[in-house]
Amino acid sequence: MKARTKTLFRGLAVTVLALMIFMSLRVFDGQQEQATQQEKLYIPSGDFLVESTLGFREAAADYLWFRFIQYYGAFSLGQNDLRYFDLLIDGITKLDPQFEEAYYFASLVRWSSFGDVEGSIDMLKRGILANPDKAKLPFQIGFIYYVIEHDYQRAGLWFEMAGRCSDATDKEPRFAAFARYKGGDQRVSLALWKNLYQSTDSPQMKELALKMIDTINGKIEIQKRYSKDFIGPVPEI
Amino acid sequence: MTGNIMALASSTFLETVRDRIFYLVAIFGFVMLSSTAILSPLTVGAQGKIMADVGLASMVVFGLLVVVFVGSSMVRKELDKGTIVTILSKPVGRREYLIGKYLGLNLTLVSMLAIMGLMFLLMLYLAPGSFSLRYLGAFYLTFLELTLINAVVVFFSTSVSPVLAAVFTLGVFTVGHLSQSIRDFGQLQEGVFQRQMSELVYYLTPNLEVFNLRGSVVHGTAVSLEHLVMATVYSVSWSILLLVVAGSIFSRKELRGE
Repeated sequence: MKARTKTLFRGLAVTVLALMIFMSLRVFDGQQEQATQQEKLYIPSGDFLVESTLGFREAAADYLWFRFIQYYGAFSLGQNDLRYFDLLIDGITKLDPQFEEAYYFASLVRWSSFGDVEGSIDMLKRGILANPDKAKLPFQIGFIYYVIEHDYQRAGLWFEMAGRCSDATDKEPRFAAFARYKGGDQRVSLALWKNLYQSTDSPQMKELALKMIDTINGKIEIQKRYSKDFIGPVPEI
Repeated sequence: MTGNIMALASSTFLETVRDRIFYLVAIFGFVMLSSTAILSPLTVGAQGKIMADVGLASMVVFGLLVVVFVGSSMVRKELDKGTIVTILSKPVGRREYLIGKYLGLNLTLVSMLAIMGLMFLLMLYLAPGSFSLRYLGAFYLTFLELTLINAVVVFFSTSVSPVLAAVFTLGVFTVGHLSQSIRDFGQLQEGVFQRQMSELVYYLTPNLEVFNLRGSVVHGTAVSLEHLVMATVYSVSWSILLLVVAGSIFSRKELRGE
């Protein structure tokens, strides 16, 4: 009987403790939204983080990156604003200057959530300084000029720059050639397509390049033929 | 002499195996799995990078834990048990004893890092586009850093208590990663004393940032052979220096029952 009471008492104690843990967690959950806002206040500057994380800077950058994703997720759900955006990105990129995704994503947020196209391009330029041989960041600048600014000349220049990076594929020169074509710079576009035709291993890409070369050559031919009397836009072939 | 050292090294290695140190390797596997499976939705295009960062950082952390907690109590444990007296009553010198202990712990580190390295590479192999053999350079630098820390802990364990040895070693680890910054900061000061002190700290503590090329390796830059050679020279020189000083302290130490 005594042993049974003891077991009962222990069981009760365990249940009460488990309930207390559960209740505390519920209370913490309720405070979470407020905490997410508040704790960002305690993120120190990037320079301090670099020194204080000793040899684990990249892992610390990854941790901040997770926080940033959650923070942005909460913003998307309307739970907070983005007032600590710069602080977080500064921390991540100071801890790991070569963290390409951070610049890319931050640029995307600047442009899509703040409407700050210039800031978005600046962010990517910062990334390029730390990663001069990565195609993704100059390509993104070209993309912004192409899609948002409709500045096809500049877009073409950035795509060309991306095409010169060591990890560039067929995509960057193809976009450069398209942008130059769209910007009316047909001779440069023709040269880029020819270059792409010679350098690519993909049969589909060769076919596309050949088609574009024919199209541009046709346009140039028409311009030459009617240059004396032709006024207005060149007709589509 | 070599036979004695090897015997001590292998017994130290077996002791760490008996102490279930390799459980840490299982935890490492769990950390790697978590960083892959659980955290992958949060990585937003950086999964390979984050897996590599977490894996390489965990290797240093687990290695450091082993070195600090096993190394700091290694000598004291044998003093308390009295086994050290039995060992030293045989034709084994005190310096040989220390070197044997140091090499034994290094053997444990090599085994741990080898298993963790294989697990790391396997996980990267499973994540598309992340696998690369350039990580071998980072593994080797981690090993060099930990062997140096091992020498530091052996040095402290001959003269102070295990707790203090662990604290001092962690202190050296911290300062070692900051020594370059301390020096740079010191150079900005106006006072000559501050400048000289920062120089002193820089030269009197091992610069552990020499072994930290994890970031650039993760971002695709392989460690150059020249760097690997110089890092080896740096680590071995520091380790020998520390073991020599530790040996002379330990030779003068009075051991109970001897």
